[in-house]
Amino acid sequence: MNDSTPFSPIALVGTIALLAAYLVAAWCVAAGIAGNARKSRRLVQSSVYGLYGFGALIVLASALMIYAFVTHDFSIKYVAHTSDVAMPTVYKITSFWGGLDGSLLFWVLVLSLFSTVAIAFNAKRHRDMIGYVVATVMVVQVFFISLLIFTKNPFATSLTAAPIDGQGLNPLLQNYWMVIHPPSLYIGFVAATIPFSFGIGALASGRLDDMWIGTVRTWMLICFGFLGLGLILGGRWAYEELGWGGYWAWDPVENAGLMPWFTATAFLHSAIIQEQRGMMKRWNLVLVCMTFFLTIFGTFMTRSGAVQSVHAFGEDNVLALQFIVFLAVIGIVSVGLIVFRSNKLSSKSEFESFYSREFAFLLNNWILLGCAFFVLFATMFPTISEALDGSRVSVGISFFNKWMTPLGLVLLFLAGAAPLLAWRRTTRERLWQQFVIPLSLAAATIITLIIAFPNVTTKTAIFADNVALPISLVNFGLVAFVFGSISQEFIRGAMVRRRQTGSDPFTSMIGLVLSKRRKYGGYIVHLGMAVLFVGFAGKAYDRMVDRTIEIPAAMDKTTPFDADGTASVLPPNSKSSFAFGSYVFLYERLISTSDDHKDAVTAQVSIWKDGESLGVVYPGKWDYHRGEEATTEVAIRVRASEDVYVVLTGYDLDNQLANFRVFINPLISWVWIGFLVFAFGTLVCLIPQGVVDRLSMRPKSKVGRIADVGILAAVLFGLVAGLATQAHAQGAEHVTAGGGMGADGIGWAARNRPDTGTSEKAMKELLCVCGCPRESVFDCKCKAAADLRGQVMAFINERDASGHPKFDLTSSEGRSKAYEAVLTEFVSQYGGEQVLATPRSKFSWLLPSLAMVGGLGLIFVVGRRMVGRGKANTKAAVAAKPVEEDEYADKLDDELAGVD
Amino acid sequence: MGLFGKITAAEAVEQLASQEPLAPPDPLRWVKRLVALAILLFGWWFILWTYRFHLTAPAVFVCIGFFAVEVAVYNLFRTGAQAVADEDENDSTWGRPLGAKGELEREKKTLLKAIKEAEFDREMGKLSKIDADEMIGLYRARAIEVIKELDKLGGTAGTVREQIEREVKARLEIEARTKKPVEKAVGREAKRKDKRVPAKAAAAADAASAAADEAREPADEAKQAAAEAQESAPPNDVSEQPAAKEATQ
Repeated sequence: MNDSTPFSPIALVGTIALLAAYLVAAWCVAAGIAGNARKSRRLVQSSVYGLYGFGALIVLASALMIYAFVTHDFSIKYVAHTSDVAMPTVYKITSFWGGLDGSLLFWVLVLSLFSTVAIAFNAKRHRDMIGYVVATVMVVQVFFISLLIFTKNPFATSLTAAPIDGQGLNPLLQNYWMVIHPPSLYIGFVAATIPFSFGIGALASGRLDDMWIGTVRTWMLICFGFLGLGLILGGRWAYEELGWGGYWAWDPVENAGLMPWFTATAFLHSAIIQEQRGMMKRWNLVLVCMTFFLTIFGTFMTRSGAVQSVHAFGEDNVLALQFIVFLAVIGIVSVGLIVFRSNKLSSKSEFESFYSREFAFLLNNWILLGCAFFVLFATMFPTISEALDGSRVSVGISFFNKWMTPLGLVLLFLAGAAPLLAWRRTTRERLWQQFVIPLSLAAATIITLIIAFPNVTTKTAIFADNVALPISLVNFGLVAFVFGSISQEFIRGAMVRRRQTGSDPFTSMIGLVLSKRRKYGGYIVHLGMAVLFVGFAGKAYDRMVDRTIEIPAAMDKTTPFDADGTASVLPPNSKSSFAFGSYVFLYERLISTSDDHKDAVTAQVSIWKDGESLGVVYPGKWDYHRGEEATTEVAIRVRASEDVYVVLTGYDLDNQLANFRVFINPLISWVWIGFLVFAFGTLVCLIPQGVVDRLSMRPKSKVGRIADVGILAAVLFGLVAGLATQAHAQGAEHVTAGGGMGADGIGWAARNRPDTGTSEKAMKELLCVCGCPRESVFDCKCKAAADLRGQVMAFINERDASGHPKFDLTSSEGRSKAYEAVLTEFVSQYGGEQVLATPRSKFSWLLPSLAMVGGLGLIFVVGRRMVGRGKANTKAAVAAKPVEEDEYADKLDDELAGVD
Repeated sequence: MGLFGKITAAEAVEQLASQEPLAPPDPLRWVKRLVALAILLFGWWFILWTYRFHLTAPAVFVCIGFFAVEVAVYNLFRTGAQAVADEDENDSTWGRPLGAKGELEREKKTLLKAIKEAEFDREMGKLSKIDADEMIGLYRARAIEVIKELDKLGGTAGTVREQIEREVKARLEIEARTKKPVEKAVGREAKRKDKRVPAKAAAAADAASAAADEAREPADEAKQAAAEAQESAPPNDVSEQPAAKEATQ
């Protein structure tokens, strides 16, 4: 060994642990399959113990990796690339999953922990398939660990001397939300492996009764919950850290988590149909396999360079090829086994009516699947387009929104309508009785909103630019419908329970929720979804402004300041203030400071409304010593009705000039509140039967019961409140006045703002060419965007030789012509459609349209046949129904007495 | 109906199945566990001693690593030991699926839930009485078919009524068995009292103890009989478990 070649005992032991784990995983695959195939208890047991041992080896490797981070072992390349000495310990630990190699090891770690728990709880119950389950989990582990050993070894050491200090973690990832967002998504992804393994185990063993679905449902619920948590935390991170005023930009990395979330949601609904009606067995297995496939596909998308993203891991063709082979294996094995066991997967009954809960669930499944495939299609469209004709196109936020908005509204309607329908069929009379209150509430809400807030009818384009409807108004109406429907379900259910048990209303309600946890927990999730949609609806009314303020109030000398350094009065017509919406913003001073990690410049801005101060905010820019560019530290003043979101887009330390971008985001807080409700509902669904049994076995004194329920509620609320508390933890970091930074562009964001509606529309459609992640020239804060905005306005306002405007902006035809002309001009100027947010290719709208029309057609054609068959079968069954024998009727009644 | 959900017969069968161990229990398992715990605690103490008992991040991760090593060694030893162990005679029967009975129990559970759900929907006004009755009738017909098939296969948990009957029978047996020896012992003591009027308190205590011992023997037998009865027919309802315990005491 050369003297300059670093030797790391941590790297050596870590690599040995990975190699040992690889061998153990391979053994578990062989022993598990052979054990169940030969009905050998010892081989199955050996594979189960092997799985536990594998988990311990991976925990060892992970502990060593983190140890290397916290002890600054920069001889390990991964440690040197993603951390440095000055980073706080918490970020050193999170650097473990901050890069590609470590994130793969983290994946293996989470899967090994989950599989250990899943196997420990189910090994005995599913003993006739557990060997296959272990083998499936371990095949996945073999794939990932082979990536770690042969392609992306996180313990690889430098060939030359170890650097004195590391390169540090990406500053954007040194954020509170980034500590918990990636693990949440990983847990969601990894949890999908457990249902898949049980599904494959059931298919391989031929045990396709309903037993496996109980185990799978719990794990799918965990997958659904954590994916939801990961997605919302990602949204929160983007909202606070990226400074573009929004929380969801259809980024491929977020889409990768959203696609399996759609299919997991579809499964959770269709699993209920299988349990209630013995239908859709094949479909459920397809959904389980598809959810897993999409988690791996999402990982492939973000780690292979197949798509461009703000936080993808970069291009890697070798890794891409390995993932493609693994995806092919998953596809072939899943489809092969489902086809092989097809005869065992036939349904026991059929649909009997379109007005039934199972048909609403089926429709919901189709829409969710449609959402998943649309997101997949739109995310991959640039790559597909490039592969087909060599031209790279872009797919912007507006394209996603145009299609996903109507699909989301249909889902919202179903969230309210499905609970009102009965299983099998609902007669017209009953349909009316069930729908009248929720529909009346929706109508009353819409009318009230139109009268009280006339601008609520703002139109939004769906499917295409020329199809514009008052979508947000419809959204509010549907939210009211869902609230009405779910409230009615709770109230009527509690009344029925009260009649049955004779208990008081409170006990009846608690008993109802706990005895039917999945049903009523699911309803709470629906409520959470409705609240989320209130937040989504607010997007239609958001506003943005850019302003440059040349002199802060502290230099102006006309503003009186308090002892704490903040303005005590808002001076009239101050040069340091500007008005936007119903607020006035006073730029008070610019503060420059430094610490070991960064230089920071922070503006002190007070917000005023009706002459009263709402408080002071501190938007800033932090320039990390090891980062390439400064990060934006936004300041958010949260109000019940709207968020006031202030961004410092540029400054000049010499003359104290500052540029601000302010967003007014109506109703955005409801997105976070909605998620908390959603999380609470998911937790209610996950309450184990054992807890409920324990509660029901306690002495039946009223005080005792209330105490028990109180403790349970406190635990659930504690979990949700903990989450809520964390939602505010970041605020402190952002409002602390920080210090100093290097030079930045001054005032580009405020320059060349659109002068007409046509210019604004065109600017929103054109993507910036500065390399930013798919921001439009309207939003982007760089110089290139400012120049492009200038070009757009110059083109639209161009005059001909006679001095007349080239485009007649007073007529809608002229505006449309100008809009099209400017887009065409830019496409020809930049040599391709990559500058457009909405692809112009026919395929971009033809394929989703065909899929939507075809899917709806299929569901109604096939549905009619199924309903016809179902009705005929029921008729025959009613005619052939035997007379109940007393002895068995009594037995059945006795059995029913024990069912709650 | 209780306040909250209760375990049905099908779940009880499932639980019974899950109680069967995947591997026979190791008689020395507690000794092994204690040794493992001692090694773990000693290792952690040594690591912390090396770090002068400063609980820093590196010390914590070294402790986690040591724990992982111990768990890995233990489980990998078990993996190898199981792989080379002799074939168990019961292996072929162990691997057999739970079979038709399990599937029927599942179907019965689904049907019972469906009947309850239909009744609930009717009460909530979602289903008309005619529709609900027709639906419930069909479910009941199929549920009775399933119960009949289960009866043919034998060994079901039985209905609540049957369980209560079994339980009452077990209680009566226990009572009958425990009553006779206690009566006999009390009678014998009375005779002794007649013979030796100034009986010592200690002797009386001994006699009472012996009588209690005598009484306990048949009670144990009865307890075993009740346990056997329970094993062959697991309870349908969690709330009945305390009652069964009471019966055996």
